Amino acid sequence: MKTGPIVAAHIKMIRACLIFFVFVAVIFFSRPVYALTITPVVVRRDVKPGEVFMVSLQVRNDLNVSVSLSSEIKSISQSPSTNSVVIFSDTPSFHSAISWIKSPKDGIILEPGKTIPYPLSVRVPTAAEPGGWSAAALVSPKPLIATSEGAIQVQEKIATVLLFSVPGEVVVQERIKSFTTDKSWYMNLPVKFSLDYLNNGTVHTTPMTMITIRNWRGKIVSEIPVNQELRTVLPKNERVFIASWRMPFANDAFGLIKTLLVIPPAWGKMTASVTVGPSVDSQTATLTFWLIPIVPIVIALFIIFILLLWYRRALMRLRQSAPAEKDSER
Amino acid sequence: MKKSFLRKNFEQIILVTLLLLYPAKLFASVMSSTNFAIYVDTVSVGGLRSTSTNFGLFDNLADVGGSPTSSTSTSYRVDSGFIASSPDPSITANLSTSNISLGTLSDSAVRTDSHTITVTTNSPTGYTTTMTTDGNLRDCCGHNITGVGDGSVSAGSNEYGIRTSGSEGQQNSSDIAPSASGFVIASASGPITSSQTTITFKAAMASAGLTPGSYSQSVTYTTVGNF
Repeated sequence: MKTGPIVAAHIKMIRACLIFFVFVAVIFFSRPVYALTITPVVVRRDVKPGEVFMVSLQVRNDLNVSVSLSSEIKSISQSPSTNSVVIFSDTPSFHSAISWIKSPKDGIILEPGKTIPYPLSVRVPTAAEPGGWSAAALVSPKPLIATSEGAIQVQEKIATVLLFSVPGEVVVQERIKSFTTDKSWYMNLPVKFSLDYLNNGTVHTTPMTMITIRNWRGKIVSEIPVNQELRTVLPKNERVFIASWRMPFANDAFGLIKTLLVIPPAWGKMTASVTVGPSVDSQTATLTFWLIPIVPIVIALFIIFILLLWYRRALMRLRQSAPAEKDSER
Repeated sequence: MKKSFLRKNFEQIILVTLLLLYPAKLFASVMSSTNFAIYVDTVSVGGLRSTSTNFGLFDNLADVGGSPTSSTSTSYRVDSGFIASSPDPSITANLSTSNISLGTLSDSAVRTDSHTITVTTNSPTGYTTTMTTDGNLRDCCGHNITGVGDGSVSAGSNEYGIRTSGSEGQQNSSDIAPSASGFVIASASGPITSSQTTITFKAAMASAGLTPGSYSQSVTYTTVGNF
């Protein structure tokens, strides 16, 4: 009786079982530890002094185990960096609604795959000043009990931003802290503009403006929209908006090569200006930069040089052939 | 005696009223199943989906007030019409593991461990995830491992830092020291599905100067929709 094939079959079976167990282990043990969904992301609401109401968030548990929820209300402020950093703090910032909001008690159990309403009760003080107020509700699975030694414990929180507007006499004052380009001269587009915007008023603002670019003769050559994403700036906060003047085909296939080779719509000394704020109290900032498309110019000069060379040679050939024709006629 | 119009046509009036009201209720409801939800619908007479390499455009006809433009002011925006409607944006954050273990540090190698945060949002302005800590990486007795300052955690020096990887990672180019004041580790400027950012923790020690023992820290990732 031959035992070789039987042993080989056993080995194959064991190998298949091992692969199956590894596969199952990967499936079951690589599940995320936290997986929460919160809705909505931002709550915007007009409120009146003395008003009491509920804001109902929805929280879903995307895990296959129950979690115990905890939440906290924080003050928010914005950082003047290019990305949209929100700084959460326990210290009330200007027009912070942190004291208006009460979140549910910790310990609400959320079953796997379930969505529950997560109500926040809001009580607007009767003496609330008119303007924009803000806070954030941070929801997380139950906080870790203690930091174990020799390890880095990580917790995940998801936040809903709450923006309230109290009607009344408000101050709208928008200012430009700085308006710059990343370079003073460019070989070609894109030109990257950076607008450091300060909301010095008492309302939330969504600055939407245009950067107007003029050539050395004062003719408008382009207008670049700023804050197309309609981002909000909190009162007494600042935010940096980035806008680029780029070729219309910059995002096409071979857009980078095209941008390098094609002469931009205007070149030379350029002036860019931007205005923020309502017409009665607006502020304008202006800057200049140079746009000298060296690569297309060099290519154009090279082509002209080649053409001149070719013309000169053709002329010389013509001159050389002319006496020869005269000699043959004789 | 002649019957009034109301009495004479009572049954027909009730029937017509019910027929008018029933579809209104039907069309106003959210239609959903296990895998999808249609949060808003309309009865219209046309419209299609037009696409090119870079753009997709949904349009419909006969939507009164459905101008494609927005009405805006400094503080407000109104997007009118059926096309502009959208569900309440939501944000989902998944963390692959809550425990990072760097093991026993040595002066000959940089110890690393990593995990992944996965974020999905339909928010039109995207999301930002920030990282904060409860203090330094420290032992029981007040000794700290210094946060990296030169952009790279190197073997043979007392350094600790993190680096991100992934399309939305914001600290992909150099190692940075985790801090209590916090910094952005991942962000996207528009709706995104399963945006994965891997955070790699790194630590190293010099042959002298670091007190032997267990060092620990608590780190918090906060994910918020951009606004």
